Amino acid sequence: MKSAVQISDVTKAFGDVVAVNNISLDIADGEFFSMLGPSGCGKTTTLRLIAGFEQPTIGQISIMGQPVAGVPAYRRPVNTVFQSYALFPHMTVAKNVAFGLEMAKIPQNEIESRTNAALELVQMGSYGSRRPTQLSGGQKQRVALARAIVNQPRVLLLDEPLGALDLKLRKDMQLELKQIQEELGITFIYVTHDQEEAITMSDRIAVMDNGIVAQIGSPKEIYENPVSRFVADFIGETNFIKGKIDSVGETTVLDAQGIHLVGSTSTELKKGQDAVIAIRPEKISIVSAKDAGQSANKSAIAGTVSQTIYIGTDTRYQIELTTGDKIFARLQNLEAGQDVQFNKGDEVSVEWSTQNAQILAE
Amino acid sequence: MALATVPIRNKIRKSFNERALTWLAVGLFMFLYLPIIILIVYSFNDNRFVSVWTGFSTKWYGEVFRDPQVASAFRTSMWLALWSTGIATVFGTLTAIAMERFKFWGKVTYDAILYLPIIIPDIVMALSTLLFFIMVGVSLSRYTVLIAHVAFNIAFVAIIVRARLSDMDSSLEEAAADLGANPWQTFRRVTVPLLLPGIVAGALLAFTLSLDDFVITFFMAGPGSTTLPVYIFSKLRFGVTPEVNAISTLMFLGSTILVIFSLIIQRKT
Ligand SMILES: Nc1ncnc2c1ncn2[C@@H]1O[C@H](COP(=O)(O)OP(=O)(O)OP(=O)(O)O)[C@@H](O)[C@H]1O
Ligand SMILES: [Mg+2]
Repeated sequence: MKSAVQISDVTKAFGDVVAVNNISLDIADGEFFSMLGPSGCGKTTTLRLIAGFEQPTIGQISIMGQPVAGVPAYRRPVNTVFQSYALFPHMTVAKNVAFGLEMAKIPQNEIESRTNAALELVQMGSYGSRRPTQLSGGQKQRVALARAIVNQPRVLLLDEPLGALDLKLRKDMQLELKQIQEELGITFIYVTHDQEEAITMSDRIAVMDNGIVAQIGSPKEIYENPVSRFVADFIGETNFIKGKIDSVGETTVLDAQGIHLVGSTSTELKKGQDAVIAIRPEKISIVSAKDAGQSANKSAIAGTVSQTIYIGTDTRYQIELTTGDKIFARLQNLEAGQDVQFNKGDEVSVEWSTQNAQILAE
Repeated sequence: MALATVPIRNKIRKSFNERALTWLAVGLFMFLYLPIIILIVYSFNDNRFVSVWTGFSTKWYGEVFRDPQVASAFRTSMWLALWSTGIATVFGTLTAIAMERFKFWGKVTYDAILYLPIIIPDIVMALSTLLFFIMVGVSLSRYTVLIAHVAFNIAFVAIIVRARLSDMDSSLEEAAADLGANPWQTFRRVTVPLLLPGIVAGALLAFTLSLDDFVITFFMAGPGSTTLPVYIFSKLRFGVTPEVNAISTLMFLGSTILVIFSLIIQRKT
């Protein structure tokens, strides 16, 4: 598969601050690639390196197979949707959108039709003659999107493009964006804080942490097989139980205060090392203490229900384990009017299949 | 009891303070503007002697407009103001952009020095410039006056443009580059339009300063560089005449209009 953007061993330092620390990414042509991570982890900096607003301190970047070291931003075949919109305040919405086309010396009648089409696409068709100052945050964001898409770049860099939208519009725009991306075959490099957004839209996700790439993979890989506690914690809800590695082999065994818990692992672990076992709340089943029994490919641990929370589709149970850890489990409410399956104070046993639990370095 | 009286006392004190401040302001305005008002009024005096009011007349204005020396001084003033404004606006704007956007060796020092013409007394500026011209052996002419005017005007233009520039979101220029605009196109299509109110305000201020300047012009003045202020000063040797009042009134009017213009432009954006 052809690469759209290749980032090789790139580091970017601002004085003492290392914003991006030796990252390598290979983003395929036509891919929807997301970068996810907490605030300040270097997402915007990575986009700026690709766009050409910053130069790497170390390392190399290629766009569509061409090294871009020394190529100024205006010559790179990428467009950006800025986190702060960056709409030109002295131009109308239509002029903003037409700017890139004018720079590319597109004939005037084509500029008009493409500008209108782009504005229609983001449902801003009737706003062409307004000034950016007369728009709401969400409307600005959509104009910024139209202004970037209208140029049909090979690569589109989007820095939290839906951050200012309300939930309904956000969901609509997510679908819209995904559709645009597939139709035009543009590579999207998409920065977001929102893990659900990243999971539902992306072909692949890079989870970033403090300037490094913690994990790259499909949404499923990242969700099901996180390689570190950070990733497991950042993506979705996860329970952690602390312990020490008891044995490694086909399956790994964690000793949590004498209780042996079995899980799979994708990283190198040593016997005796501090580690955690990570289990998603929906992968846990709860049985009453009297029904508990060890089965071959399951781990079980005893506890007491300390809280039940009805959340519509599911009920969340907080369970205090005999190890002292508190974990959450969620059971789906399959039957209407069904009563909670367990009550506060019930003695229970929580169980999970070996392949659903990850043992990770602490 | 104490609780009840305190607010009342505060109220009294407040209204007293308010009234005192209002009168202070009025007094200050009188002090500033009364002489100008008197000057304007007496420019319409029929009498040859300024201090004796005999009747209303516009004859001095007629005289001013007929006086070839005034016409010549006016032309010199305009020539100086236009050229020094034009040159100072271009260089002042470029300087502001360089100071705000680029890093270069000695920037901090240059930054401090640039604003010196605003701080140091005119007379010092005038003397030092004069000594400089004498040292390098340039004879005084209207061009030396022009150079001196450009020198102080650049500082004012740069300060005003730079204030505007530092308010400007630099991601706008990045957005332009991102959309394929080369540095020149970005400058022309984005930077300049956004800076324009600052540039125009700076230019108007420069124009006014150049028109009004006396000290520096007087020191630098060679043959053919008698501006209106210098002409007025030379006339004063024969006493204050209503004609001088009339010229001054016209200059006051011109400067006021320019300054108001400049304020409106800055306010509007
Ligand atoms: N021009 C700069 N000078 C100095 N430090 C910078 C600069 N730009 C970014 N940084 C630092 O680099 C780190 C990464 O910043 P970056 O903007 O890439 O974060 P981010 O992941 O986009 O965060 P957010 O989600 O809040 O937008 C931060 O610690 C930031 O303070
Ligand atoms: Mg950011």
